[in-house]
Amino acid sequence: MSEDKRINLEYIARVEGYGQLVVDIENQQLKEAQFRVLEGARFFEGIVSGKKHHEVPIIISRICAICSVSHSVVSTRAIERAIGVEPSEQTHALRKLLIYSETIQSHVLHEYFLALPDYLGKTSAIDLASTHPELVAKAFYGKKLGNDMQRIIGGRAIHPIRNVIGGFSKFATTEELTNLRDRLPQLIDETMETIKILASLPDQPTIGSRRDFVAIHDPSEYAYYDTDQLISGHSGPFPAADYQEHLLEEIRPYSHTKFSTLKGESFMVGALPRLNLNHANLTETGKEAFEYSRLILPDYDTFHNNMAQLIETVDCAQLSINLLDRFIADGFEKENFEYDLHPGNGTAATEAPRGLLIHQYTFDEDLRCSYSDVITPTAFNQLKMETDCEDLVPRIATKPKEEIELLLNMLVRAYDPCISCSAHSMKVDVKFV
Amino acid sequence: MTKPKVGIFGLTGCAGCQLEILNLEEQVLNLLALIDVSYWRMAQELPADPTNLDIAFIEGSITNEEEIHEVKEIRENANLVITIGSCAGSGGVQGMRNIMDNDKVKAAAYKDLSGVRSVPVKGVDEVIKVDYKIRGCPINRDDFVSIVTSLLLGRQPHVWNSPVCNECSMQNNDCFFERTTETPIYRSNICLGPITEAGCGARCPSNGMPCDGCRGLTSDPHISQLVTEARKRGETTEKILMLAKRYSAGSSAVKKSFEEMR
Ligand code: SF4
Ligand code: SF4
Ligand code: SF4
Repeated sequence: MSEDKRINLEYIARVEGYGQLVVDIENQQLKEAQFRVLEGARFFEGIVSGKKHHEVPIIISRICAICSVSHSVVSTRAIERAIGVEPSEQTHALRKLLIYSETIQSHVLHEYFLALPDYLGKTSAIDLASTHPELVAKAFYGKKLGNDMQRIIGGRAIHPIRNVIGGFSKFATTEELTNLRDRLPQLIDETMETIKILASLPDQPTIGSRRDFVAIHDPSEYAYYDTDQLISGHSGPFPAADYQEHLLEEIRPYSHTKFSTLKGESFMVGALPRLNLNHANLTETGKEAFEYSRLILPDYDTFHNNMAQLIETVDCAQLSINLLDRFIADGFEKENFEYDLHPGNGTAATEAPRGLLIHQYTFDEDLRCSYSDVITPTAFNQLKMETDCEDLVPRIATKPKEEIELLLNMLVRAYDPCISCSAHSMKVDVKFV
Repeated sequence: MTKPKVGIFGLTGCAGCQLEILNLEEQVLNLLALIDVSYWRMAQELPADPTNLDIAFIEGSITNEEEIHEVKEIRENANLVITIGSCAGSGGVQGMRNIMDNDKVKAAAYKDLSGVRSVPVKGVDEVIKVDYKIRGCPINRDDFVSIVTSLLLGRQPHVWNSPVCNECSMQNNDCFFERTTETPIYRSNICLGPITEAGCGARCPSNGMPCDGCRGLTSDPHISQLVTEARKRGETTEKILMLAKRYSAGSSAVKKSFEEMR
């Protein structure tokens, strides 16, 4: 007689509270997979209501520490659109540099501390330190560099201070920029090595279903920061401002968060979708990393999001070098902050390390926020986590429960659902009915 | 000497204070040589033993019944309870819903309220005794190390007892209250440095932005003076208080300080 299993992956989804993935297996068939968000709501869209335009980014970045740069950048950009501010090209370039820095620190932290230990059969990075000290040293090198970049460009590693509506309130010095510039080539070399290691490990069971991907899109570059267009793998580009028409949200009774669908189907956001949709514009160094990875695009396998993050780490390091060289050579121009502000509505879409992030705001005559909408990558990915289970579980249901737990853990971890909601904060609970 | 047994707990917040501890980078390993971390869900799966602790660090505020229960349990299991950051210390930014129209706040965030179970936001010391608070949103990693080292050596951690302004003038910053040019679009015209406890090195003014009080009130805050100053600049008392409570609306002690001022 076959066993019925209930697998319960609990973790903290920081934005919307306490979350879990519950998987019910009956007769080696998946009965139900539910992603639930249960507790600890913080009501950000509510607490920014009535706040002045310049207060909103400061408050909203507190949604999430590890993505605080993304929240700061996308909120300032959406608010600028709403109230009639068009910052300089220099400001856009500096914000890109901030986003690259965040992507580096977040990807490095996720890959070395959370994902790789699973692949190498370790329980944590601390455990990894005993057998693979060189990997842990690389992790600290990359994470520290990403953090130092955020600190030097943004004024603080977590919850940046200098990125403000219309520009930056202070600039880094040439010495500081040069220091960062000189440390980046080592990160590129070391990440290339890690890509080769990961490419040589046996593959995990694959996610076979060819579900959709969504990312921001710019025809001229591999976009990580604010574009006018979003692109879907199945249905092509559409205007970011129309996201509510395309990415439909529904509420499900077992969870009070909103689930997003595109044409009625689940879709994925994150590094792998970006790579699939925008790979033609990787830097030359990024393309080299892609070669070592041995990925073949389009790649629908969620587990390969880990490899995609490593490729992006290399790409972001190269893009950062390019921008730093420019700022070291040219210096910074003083920003113009003179605008006639007006009421209005504005949207911005950007790529947080773990995927698409959208903010929308309306400001009234008094320049106070009267409406806001924030959709985080983990919210976009929720439904896809469930449909991945539908795909994966039938093929692994006969395995011992420890193995099923590990594979489902690895699956959820591959989404990199925000450190607060991430990995080793997960408790796995299997009940035999 | 056996190493003190430590647990690090996260309630409702952004995880930034725990991340700031991880951001000690290699220094984390030095710290791990001095303490035995037996519970830290964000950084490690095992070991996971939240009992018989010498020190419990708590991040995040209390926003529901389960968390009230959780902190009581932590208190029973720990000799010293130390809060990290303004969420745990005084409610953090999410505490603002306590002083706003609570139903409207919730409705703006969730169309369907049936699944939302929450209580007014509280700092941890509203529910249990807290032995020490590490300030800031987020905490500062160097501050964290120096406070923890003092506590491990049985010393009283350093107390500033002075406002951010003192550190600010040491950095030779141009005071926001003394500028004669029009306030730029990106910032408030009020700086909370005069009523906020020092210790961050005047981080925000040194980066071109006013202090918004993340470290909480200093021991003898001249709130009415600041309000007078801000009213001269055209702000209403209500708005100044909303700003001043940005990180601390979940604290009854802070509420009392403001009531005394009125
Ligand atoms: S105090 Fe600030 S940084 Fe720390 S958890 Fe709360 S919101 Fe995050
Ligand atoms: S902290 Fe603010 S008020 Fe105090 S001196 Fe500095 S700028 Fe002026
Ligand atoms: S200047 Fe004020 S708001 Fe900024 S870090 Fe210091 S106490 Fe916090």
